Amino acid sequence: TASGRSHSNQTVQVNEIQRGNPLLASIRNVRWSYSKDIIPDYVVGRTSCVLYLSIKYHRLHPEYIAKRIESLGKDYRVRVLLVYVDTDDSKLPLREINRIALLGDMTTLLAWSLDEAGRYIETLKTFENRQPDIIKERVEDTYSAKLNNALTSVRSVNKTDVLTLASNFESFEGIAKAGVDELTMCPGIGDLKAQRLFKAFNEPFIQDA
Amino acid sequence: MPASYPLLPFQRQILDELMDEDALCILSRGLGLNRILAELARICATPRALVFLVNANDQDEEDLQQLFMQMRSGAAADEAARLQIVKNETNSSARAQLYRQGGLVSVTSRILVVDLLNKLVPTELATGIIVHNASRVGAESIDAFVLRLVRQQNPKVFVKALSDAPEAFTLGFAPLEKTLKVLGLRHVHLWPRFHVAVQRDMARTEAPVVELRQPQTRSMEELQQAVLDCLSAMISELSSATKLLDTEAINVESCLFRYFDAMIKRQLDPYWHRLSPRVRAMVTELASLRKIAEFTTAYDCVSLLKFLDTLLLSSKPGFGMGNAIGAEWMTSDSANILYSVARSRVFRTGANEQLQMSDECRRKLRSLGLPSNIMPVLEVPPKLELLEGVLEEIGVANNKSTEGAESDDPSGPVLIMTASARECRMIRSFLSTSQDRIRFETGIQDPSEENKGCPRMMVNLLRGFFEWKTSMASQRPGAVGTQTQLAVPSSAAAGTQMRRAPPTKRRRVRGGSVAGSGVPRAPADILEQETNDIATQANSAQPADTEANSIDAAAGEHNSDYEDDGGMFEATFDEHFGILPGRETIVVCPYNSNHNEKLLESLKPTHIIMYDPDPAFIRQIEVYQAHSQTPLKQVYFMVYDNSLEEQRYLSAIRRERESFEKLIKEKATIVIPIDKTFGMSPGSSLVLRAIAGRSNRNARSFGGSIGLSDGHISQSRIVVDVREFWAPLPSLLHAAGFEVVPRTLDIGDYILHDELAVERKSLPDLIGSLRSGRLYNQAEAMCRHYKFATLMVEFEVNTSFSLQAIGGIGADISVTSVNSKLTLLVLAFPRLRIVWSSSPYETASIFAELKRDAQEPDADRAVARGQNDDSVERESIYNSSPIELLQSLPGVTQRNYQQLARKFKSIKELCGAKKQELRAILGAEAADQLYEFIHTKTKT
Repeated sequence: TASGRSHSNQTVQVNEIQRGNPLLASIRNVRWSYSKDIIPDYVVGRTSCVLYLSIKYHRLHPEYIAKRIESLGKDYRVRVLLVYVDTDDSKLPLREINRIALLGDMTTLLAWSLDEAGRYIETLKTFENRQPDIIKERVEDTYSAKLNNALTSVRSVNKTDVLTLASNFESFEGIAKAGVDELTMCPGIGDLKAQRLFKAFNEPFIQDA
Repeated sequence: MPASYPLLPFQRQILDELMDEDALCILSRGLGLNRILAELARICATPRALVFLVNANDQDEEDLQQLFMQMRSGAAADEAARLQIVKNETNSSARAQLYRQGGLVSVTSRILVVDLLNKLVPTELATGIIVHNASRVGAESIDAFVLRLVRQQNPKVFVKALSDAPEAFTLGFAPLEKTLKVLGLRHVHLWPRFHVAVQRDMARTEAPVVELRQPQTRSMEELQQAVLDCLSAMISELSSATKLLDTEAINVESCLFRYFDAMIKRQLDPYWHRLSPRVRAMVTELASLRKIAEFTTAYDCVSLLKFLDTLLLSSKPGFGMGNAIGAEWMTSDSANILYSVARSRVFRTGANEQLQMSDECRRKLRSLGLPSNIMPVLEVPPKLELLEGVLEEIGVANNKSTEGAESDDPSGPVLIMTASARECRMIRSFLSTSQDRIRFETGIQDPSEENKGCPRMMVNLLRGFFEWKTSMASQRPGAVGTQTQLAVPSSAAAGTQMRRAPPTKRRRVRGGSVAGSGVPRAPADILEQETNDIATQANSAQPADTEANSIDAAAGEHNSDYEDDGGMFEATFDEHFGILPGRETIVVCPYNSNHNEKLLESLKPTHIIMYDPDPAFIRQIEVYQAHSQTPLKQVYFMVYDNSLEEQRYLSAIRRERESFEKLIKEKATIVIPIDKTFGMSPGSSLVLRAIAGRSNRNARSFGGSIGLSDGHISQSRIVVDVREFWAPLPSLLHAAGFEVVPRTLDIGDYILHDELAVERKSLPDLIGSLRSGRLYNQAEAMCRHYKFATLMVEFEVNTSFSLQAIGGIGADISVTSVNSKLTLLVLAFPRLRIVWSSSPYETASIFAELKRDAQEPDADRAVARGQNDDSVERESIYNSSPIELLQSLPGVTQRNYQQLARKFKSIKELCGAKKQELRAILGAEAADQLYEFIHTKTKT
């Protein structure tokens, strides 16, 4: 029904079997409610679901998670296995979990606290329809940001150095054409840094025979 | 030339001992490590042998090459001697041929590893490996991988390791033992300066050293105190903000050293990704403060002020990175003192009535291109004046000696040594113009000081400073990037900085401060703003044709601060030094541990002036003195009395001595087991663990044992991108028994089987590539071409295995947190798998787990994935630093950078490209962006 859909659009649906999971107390920024008819532990979007696993539990019941994954079927596109790392020695169980998740088409996220686990659930829900612009390559808008971005890609160059370079040379082209000597003369640019910069501007991109 | 003098007895002994047994040889700096390397190289460079030299830097290689050229051309020409230097530009077939020819081959470890794995190296012919700069070899380093591979294929090779950085072997727990294990060596030879044999050789001739302790000026002392105050405040702030620091080692004294940055980084690195931005900013600021402390004595007063002003401006929000956190220390009282004193020794300002300047004086200022409402103070660095005096003295002494005796006691050249190329230029510029002084009639004359006038150099510096200041107006926040500024969250520090100072304070500054006593405490940026106003006014009021302009025209180039007045320098026989005219030849040169010996040998100076203290150079003088035919008349050693410079020098000597004492103790108790069953020494316990972890899970036995890994048992194969060889993982995978196949891959870093590609991200990489968008592109490409596209998040060995910030997770969802970005990645690429690993060692085990029962990957197919027909040849190797710079330019993307790299040789060449050329490659929009960026004027 229409009302049902709008309900599920705004809230995280929680499987009844999660009742009593202290994780629920950490979901604060989105609404959630129990739902009887879902297979995953959490439904965080129209096509996104979460299975929750704590490492302690996995150690006691190593066969549990594979069964749950199998039961999910093909209904969800985004399938997250949210693992709460609640033991100090997690290496062996994680090795196993990594493999099970990979074979079971699950994407693993690790959380080192219940708050962090809760935050992943909140974020998955909140960002359900968000464009991934923030993790895409994007164009910086101001000249100084662009210049910063470019010059700080050279090792050990910091933003003070960028300002120094920008104010002592005409343009990016000017910096590119500067000799090691001229670079050294800028206050704060030591001999080594000057050489690194010079190398970045003058060394050939590709070394061919 | 290094070869032109015989080894001193102790050096001979070092060499002999090293020839007798495989060992790590650690030497005091300045005792001639290069010389030992050169001798070793000479012995190894025969076609009968094949010896690899790893870890030599460009300069080492250059020196060796010169030595060999000399050997082939000299009287006792040794035609057969061969030294091969393998660089990126040598392609693989050329390399294979070169290895077969034998001799000494200096090669980058990364190339050697790839060649060893690709079976390009005839290891059966290999005789040995020389590891230079051995302090850099760690359990996870690529050099360790090289040693393991070579030894595995040929257990008979010799290994000699050299280092002159004893301090590096005393950091952490039993580092000497660890290094020896990695190198597979049982012996260490220690050669401190206080070794008996060294003492004996050096004692024969004592260098005539005069120590000149120059007092600092009062303002220098005040600056020093202010920096120290800032530093100690910052350190206590830092240790209370993070409870993670070892407060024993982190103190004001230790933070004066360059190694401090490394030390603090090592302590905080495990938690770095979890620290608050404020703590991270503080660590950066500590480095800035250390620089100020260093520049207080090393820079002239104008350059220091320029540096301070740049720091101030760059700490303001609005420039560059939007979320910059202002430097907290800049708002402190000590910082205000720092800024006021730094300015008061450059010039004074004041309302006209307070500065009693004659009209003539104003005219003079104007004619020099300076603002007319300031009074230049221009404190000359005291050491420069001292230097001038010393040179005079030498001149007088030489005159006397030539008058007295016949020329049986000729005076040779005078050598002046400095800590940096920058100081060299300052000295040359000063000496060549020191007679040219300009007097400013000040009303407030200090009667105790004779007014000799300002050296022309200082006046030029000041003019350059004001011109720079004017151009900076365009760099201010507000003038550029208003949008960025709006986006900035106003942090507490930034808030304070933007606040206007109370009017009373402002007036006090205007009231004409007297240098030295009673320095006003105006907030630093008020002063900076005022200076700025002066500069802008002066420049707008400047008449068109002043003396300054004609000077500019004559000088032409105006970017450098120290201009050599045209034609004063005659010959330069190296780009590094110039000879000053005069009765004596004067050579000014920066310390350079590789070239110092050569310099002394070829120049044969009779007088040496050490303008800056340097422990290694003193030894080099001693060594030179011990074998040289030309006696040294006098060595002057200059240091600022009671200064940080002096403290740094003394601590450096003490640190070296203590390091050796520690090493001697550790050597006595060290136990290096040689594991016969491995046929080579185990890399480290951790590598062993990786091996153990693997063989426990499999019935097959893996490990470094020669017989097994030589193809008797089919190995599990992993195709690895060659760029990954900087990381420890390939080495560990090999140690764990995998067959590692190096290839240049476009998609993925590790191909486990034909359908499984892994993009490995260390934590800093993960954070960086999520920010830059690189990971998005990589994930996209991987998902398109592989059924199992996998992102491997790998923590480093000693880092805390957690993403969470130390302060805990905030109350609200933050878009910029790593968690949020990862979530977005998960939502954008539902098919992307994420695998988590606590360390590279763990990764090796995880790979074994993931590869279980899978078929082996096809290397050629892996290479071909995602490649267009016109893609770059497999053989070519990119140079990382220009490529990274290229990729970070506007309009350049992951998709088009390769075309640019093929079309243009370097960034410099790219800068000369026409718009049309760029359009042809990038398309109009991106090309215009790039073109505009390159040519935008930063100054107006």
